[in-house]
Amino acid sequence: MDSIIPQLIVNSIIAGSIYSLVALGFNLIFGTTKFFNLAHGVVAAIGGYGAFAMLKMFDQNILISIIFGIVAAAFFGWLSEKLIYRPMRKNKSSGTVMLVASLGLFTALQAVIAIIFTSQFKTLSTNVGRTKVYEIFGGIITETQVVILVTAILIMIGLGLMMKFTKLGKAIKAISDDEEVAKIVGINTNKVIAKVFIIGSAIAGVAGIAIGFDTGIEPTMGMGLLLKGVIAVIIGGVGNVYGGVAGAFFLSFVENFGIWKISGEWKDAIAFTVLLLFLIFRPGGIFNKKK
Amino acid sequence: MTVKIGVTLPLTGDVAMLGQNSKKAIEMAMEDITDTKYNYEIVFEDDQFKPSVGVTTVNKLISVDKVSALLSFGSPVGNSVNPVAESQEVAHINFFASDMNVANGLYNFVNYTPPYKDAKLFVSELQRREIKNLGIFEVQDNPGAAAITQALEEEIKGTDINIVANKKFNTGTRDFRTLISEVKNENIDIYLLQASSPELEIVYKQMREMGVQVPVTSIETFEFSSDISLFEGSWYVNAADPEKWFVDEYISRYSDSPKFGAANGYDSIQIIVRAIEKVGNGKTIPTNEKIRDSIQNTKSFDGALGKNLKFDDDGIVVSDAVVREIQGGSPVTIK
Repeated sequence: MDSIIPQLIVNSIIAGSIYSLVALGFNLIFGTTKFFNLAHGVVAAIGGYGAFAMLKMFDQNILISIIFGIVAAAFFGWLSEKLIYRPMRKNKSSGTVMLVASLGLFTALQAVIAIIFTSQFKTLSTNVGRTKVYEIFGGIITETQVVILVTAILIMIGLGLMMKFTKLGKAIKAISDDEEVAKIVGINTNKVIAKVFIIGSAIAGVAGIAIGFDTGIEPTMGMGLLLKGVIAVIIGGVGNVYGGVAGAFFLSFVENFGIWKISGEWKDAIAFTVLLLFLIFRPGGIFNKKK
Repeated sequence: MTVKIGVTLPLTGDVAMLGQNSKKAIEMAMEDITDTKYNYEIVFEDDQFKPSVGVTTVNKLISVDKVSALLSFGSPVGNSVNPVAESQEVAHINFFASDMNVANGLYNFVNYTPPYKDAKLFVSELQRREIKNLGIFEVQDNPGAAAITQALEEEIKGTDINIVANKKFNTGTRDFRTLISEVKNENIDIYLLQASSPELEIVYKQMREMGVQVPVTSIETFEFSSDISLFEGSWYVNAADPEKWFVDEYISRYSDSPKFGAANGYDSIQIIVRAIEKVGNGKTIPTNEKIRDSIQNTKSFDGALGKNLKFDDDGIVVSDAVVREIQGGSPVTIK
């Protein structure tokens, strides 16, 4: 086996874990509300900056900072649903109109982050250059990445269990199938959707924090993250929570193995080529030939 | 009579520290100029080191502020200001561009060490240190970095130095691990890191995390870093050093050392003011054409970057590169 392959696999798994976290929350919200919430990207940035504020500006410990970042992301997700998307849904706004609104929210919040924290790149890591590293079959993985990977796996399992075994999970599925019918059978759809925004945004916040520790954060980080998350979602099948995870790993493997043979500057081009191929030849995603 | 001069700089963003530093140098230059026929007003705009924002700021400076001349900073913004300055016929000096294309046209000038000077010194330093195998990590969408790499490739031809690997990436890349994996086992003596902050620090950090302990160097880019101490002990080639009097005056005025490009900014604004003074009568503002010709004819200018500075036929003030080393967290010129 080529000696670079284990490292490529490790790199792909780490990138896939982060893409998965974004795709999970995005898909959860889309599956329930049926609109592309572009503000999801900036919610991830809010998570990262929330943790940064606590850790570096208020000298809090890592655990408190991480919890604060997740809560901040969840709060902004809930607030956007309560103040913007819910009234729009009430007014029967189309998915396109809501998409535009979410883009506006994305831009506004990104600007606010830049004003408060400046647009300079910042890292959450407190041990830059001194991170503990492990070797797996010749591939190197840092301690931070191990934590990211384990966290992503736990979140995926947790979300899966929630969807399958809890009342909330069943209510989400019901709304996802047909919101009007869900209302008729007595589900408080507004309450469930609010919870979906809280959970989805909290997961996005975790992604933002993970990136903050692994590389770093900047106000514009949301768009790149969102695009990768959306591509993963489309590859895996829009609205399919597990498909999104598969799409995320598929994307990260294609990207990392792609730039092994062609130059690194093509990484984003590879991602978008994959997106176009799926949109043309398999619009339903990996697991769904039709649609 | 007041003459306005427009300056577009990265006052916020990843290289804001360089932009802010240059702004202070320009203000210092204006305070150092006395006995002028005109009053001068410097209008600063923030371009965040982004070409698209640079176009907006320079259009605003020309059409709203009605400036008589322009200064810009860096190759990316310089390239986007170039056609605007040319079409609007406003003299423009870029004082931080390695890409000499920024000086193309009748109204555009560059006051910065050209890449062939950097490359020549860099190759001679590699030879002096008996370094044969070079690996490069290079941001491909920055015209300044590309111009330097191109000059380096030219300079290396015919020597016994090999570019073993040249890994290119886009600005905004945050995960370099696959690129590092590809070169990790190559026989490389030193890595040339051609990227600005934060890509520079991230690629370095990820190299070290992945066990690549080979020395690193740069052509100018270490001075872009917000955390230069990361590269402690590393040597690199930098653009021309400022004169001692400039450094002393800057420190005494601002209690801070002038950073990369500050002296070029100081000289460039003084070149413009002196050019205007030379062709103006103090009652009417000289035409843009006269200002341009006066700048082009600048000769024997004694400035912060040395004596007898002048523009060559391509509109470039040619200055010599230096070798520096990071010692105690600060850059020190060693050659």
